Amino acid sequence: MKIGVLIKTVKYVHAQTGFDLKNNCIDPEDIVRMVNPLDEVALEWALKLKDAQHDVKVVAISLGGRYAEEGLRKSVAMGADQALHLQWEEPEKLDAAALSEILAGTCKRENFDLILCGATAIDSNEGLEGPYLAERLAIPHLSSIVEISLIDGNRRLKVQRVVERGDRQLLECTLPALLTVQKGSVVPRYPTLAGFLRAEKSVVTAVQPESVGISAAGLVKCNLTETVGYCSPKPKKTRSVSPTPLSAAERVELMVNRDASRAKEGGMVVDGRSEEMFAHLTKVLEKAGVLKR
Amino acid sequence: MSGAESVLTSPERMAALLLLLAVAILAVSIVCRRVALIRSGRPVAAAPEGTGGALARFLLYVPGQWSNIRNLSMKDLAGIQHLMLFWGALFFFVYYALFFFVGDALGFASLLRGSALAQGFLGLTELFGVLLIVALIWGLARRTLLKPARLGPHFEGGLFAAITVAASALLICYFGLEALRFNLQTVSYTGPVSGLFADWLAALPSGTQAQLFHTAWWIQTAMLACFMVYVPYSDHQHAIFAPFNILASHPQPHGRFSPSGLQESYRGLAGPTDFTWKQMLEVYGCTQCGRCQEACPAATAGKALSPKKIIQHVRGSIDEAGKLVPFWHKAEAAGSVELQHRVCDEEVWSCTTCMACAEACPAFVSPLDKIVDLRRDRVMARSRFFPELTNLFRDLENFGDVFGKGKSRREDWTLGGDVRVLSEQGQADTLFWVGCQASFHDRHTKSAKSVAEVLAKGGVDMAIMGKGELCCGDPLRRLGNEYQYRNFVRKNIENLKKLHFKRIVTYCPHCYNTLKNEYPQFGGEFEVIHYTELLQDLIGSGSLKLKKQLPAKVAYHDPCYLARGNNLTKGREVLDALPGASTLDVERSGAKTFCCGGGGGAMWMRETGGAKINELRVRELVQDGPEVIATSCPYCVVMLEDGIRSLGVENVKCKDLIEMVRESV
Repeated sequence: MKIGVLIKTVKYVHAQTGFDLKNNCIDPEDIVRMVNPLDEVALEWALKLKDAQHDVKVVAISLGGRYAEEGLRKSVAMGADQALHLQWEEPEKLDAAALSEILAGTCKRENFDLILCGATAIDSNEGLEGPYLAERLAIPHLSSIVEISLIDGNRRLKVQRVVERGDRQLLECTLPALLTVQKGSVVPRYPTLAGFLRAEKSVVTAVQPESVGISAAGLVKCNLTETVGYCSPKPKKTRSVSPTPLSAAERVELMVNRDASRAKEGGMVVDGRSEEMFAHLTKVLEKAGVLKR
Repeated sequence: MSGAESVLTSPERMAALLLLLAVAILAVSIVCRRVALIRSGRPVAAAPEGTGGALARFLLYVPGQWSNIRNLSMKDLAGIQHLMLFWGALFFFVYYALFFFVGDALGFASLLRGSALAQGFLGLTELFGVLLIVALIWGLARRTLLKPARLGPHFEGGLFAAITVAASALLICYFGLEALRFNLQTVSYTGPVSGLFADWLAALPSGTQAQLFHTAWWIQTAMLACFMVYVPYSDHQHAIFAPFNILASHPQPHGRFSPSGLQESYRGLAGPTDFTWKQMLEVYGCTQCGRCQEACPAATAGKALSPKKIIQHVRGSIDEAGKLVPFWHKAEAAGSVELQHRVCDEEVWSCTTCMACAEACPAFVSPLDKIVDLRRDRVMARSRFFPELTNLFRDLENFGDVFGKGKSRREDWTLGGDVRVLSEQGQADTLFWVGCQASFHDRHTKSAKSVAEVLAKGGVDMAIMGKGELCCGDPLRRLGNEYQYRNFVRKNIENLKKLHFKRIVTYCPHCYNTLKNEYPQFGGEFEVIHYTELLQDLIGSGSLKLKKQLPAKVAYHDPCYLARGNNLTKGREVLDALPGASTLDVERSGAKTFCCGGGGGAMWMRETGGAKINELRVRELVQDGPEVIATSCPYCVVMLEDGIRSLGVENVKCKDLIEMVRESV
């Protein structure tokens, strides 16, 4: 059994890192790259299937420039048997439809029984690569998978996908198939020392698009969409507690209570056993003249 | 014919000789098997030390029993008991080897006992015999009645009662035999105790006395045989191995952890060959006195960890592999050779690597060393640890710091200040190693600024590394991730070697310890000092003048990685130099300081049950009613502040020492 896992090395945009204050731009050296977390979950599922039975081979595939190799090495450290690097500089200039063409060529050649990938990548947030690839390979595509098992002697797949509010849909399908996984309860494993050392030494196989029958000119034709611009997020209204001579604990408490001003308005909270509370409340109301005896 | 030969028959002596020889061969073979196990361990890169130093240490700690004398306090007088046991046992060892084995059994008694020297020795031995009986009863009382916590949880009172009875029987036989020798006129003198016995026994007819002699002599032989089998099997084997361990233990700073092998064949701690020979020697030299358990903050807080238990686990696994588990331990020691099944997760991860156990051990055993190896086993061989650590490891790998903020933000704290970033072309006298905590944590960036400000006022030519600085690797090594630790150390050393500076001054004691003690293990030799050292120099030389009065009662908490790890208590002296501040005595301070609960990666891990260590420490610190708790470690500041808040202690503030100095300058 051969499982292919699509790995994307992403720029970790959430890190808010790499801002050069003098030049007002991101210093390329400071960009933090990491394996797309959902792809790691997909890899973890592949490795779980591998642990459960013999003769399962896990192949990590990544498409992109030289940085893609970093992610592949991490995949090998986690336990992937082989790493294929589809070399294509500046994959940002192609859309998902075009990129899936290269991936499809490779996947056909590798003849996978099962292909796994993350539902979306945190940098592009498209979630299109999986569906496009399944379409090009003409195999079933199941999305938002959180549980995978093999049945009928590895001929069929039994999966769970999340639907609404934690409901799960149970599905079965034949192999080969492509699954895009969601972050379920799986925690991607941390590599052991042997894994790290293997990743240091192992060779990442480079694959040129030409070798799977795809020319650069042909690829550009596959592009169905075009990115015309990019804009930064609109400034959001944020609620913060100010001023800040308050301790961290007090600030958190106020944030939890939603409103900073409410604390200043005064008022009284009556707490205790119900009889005590009632007696106390009665006294207060009497004092205020609301309750008359 | 004189001497015992006249009483004992030749076949009798021959029988005893054969029995003792057989038992001795058994005992020696057990010791040899243990020695073989120890020799099968991994090699240790020995620190250079002259034989003089080793010999001096041996004399001080073995015959001098310095550990026992040093640790004496009104609360814990057991050191005296051990002193009596040690010297008593030594004298009796010589007595039995010489006068019993060579004298009685081989038949040279008349030769040996003739001299005045022998008479003096026998007299002394009798005095020590009395001391031995006192010590044995004392020991029995401690295990059955007094039950000090450090001997727990298994007091083994039954076993110790049996030993006490057997040893007392041996000693009474000894006194009786010495008395009978006089009464039967084989010797012409008695000792101070056997003289009394001789008077009592003189009333008996001489036939009965001779019979009594035979009985007592055989009881003595049998008891000796039992002890010769028991000692090499039991915890009392420390008498054999601890002296060698003391000889081999070249003292190093506690903060310097030993590196581990990083090969693809690394398989964790699967068997005895995965330990170093020194580690195994330490384990066999363990006396189970429990001083480590008493000093351990995790054990004090009632967590699962006990350093003593860790050593016992390791020993159990080594014994199991060498098929050396004594039969009276079979039930509890039974288990797998692999330590991962013997030691549970909570035990391994509740250690704060405060080094109190290693400091407290009287026999130069370091449980911490084994705990770190157990962590390495879990992290590098089995990838089995709490998931929150995965986040920490990933943050470190991806961003190079413990907060996951990224190197480009490392200089952010300098905004609005005047701090120079050292370039490769530049030159500075002092390189300020800021550390992750002071670079990123809101609470500590203030301290980083204060350090920069105070050093500038003191006229120090200072610069920082800026983006070139990564985490020093302390949390990675303490958490057992030696592989990533080495990556960090390699990169840091590379970056440091590109720069031109004379010395490094650090803010965080953990960085200080790692840079100073551990980087040399990987070829990074730098002059590293902590800012408290530098401050003291500046104040002492008059370059830094503390002007403003700070009238406050201050309790100073010594950070483990300064006071215990590196014997550095300059913080206290800086505090004394602060005008107006009065320093209070703290219950545990200096090298005996108590952990804040934040070290060894505990900062990033869940609570593993029991009380909170930081609350225990705050309670201790506020005893004398200080207004300020001062310390000089970012971890301690956070943990103690948390403790003050969660205990609801009022009118006490936790301050970083550098903040107080800045206020005063």
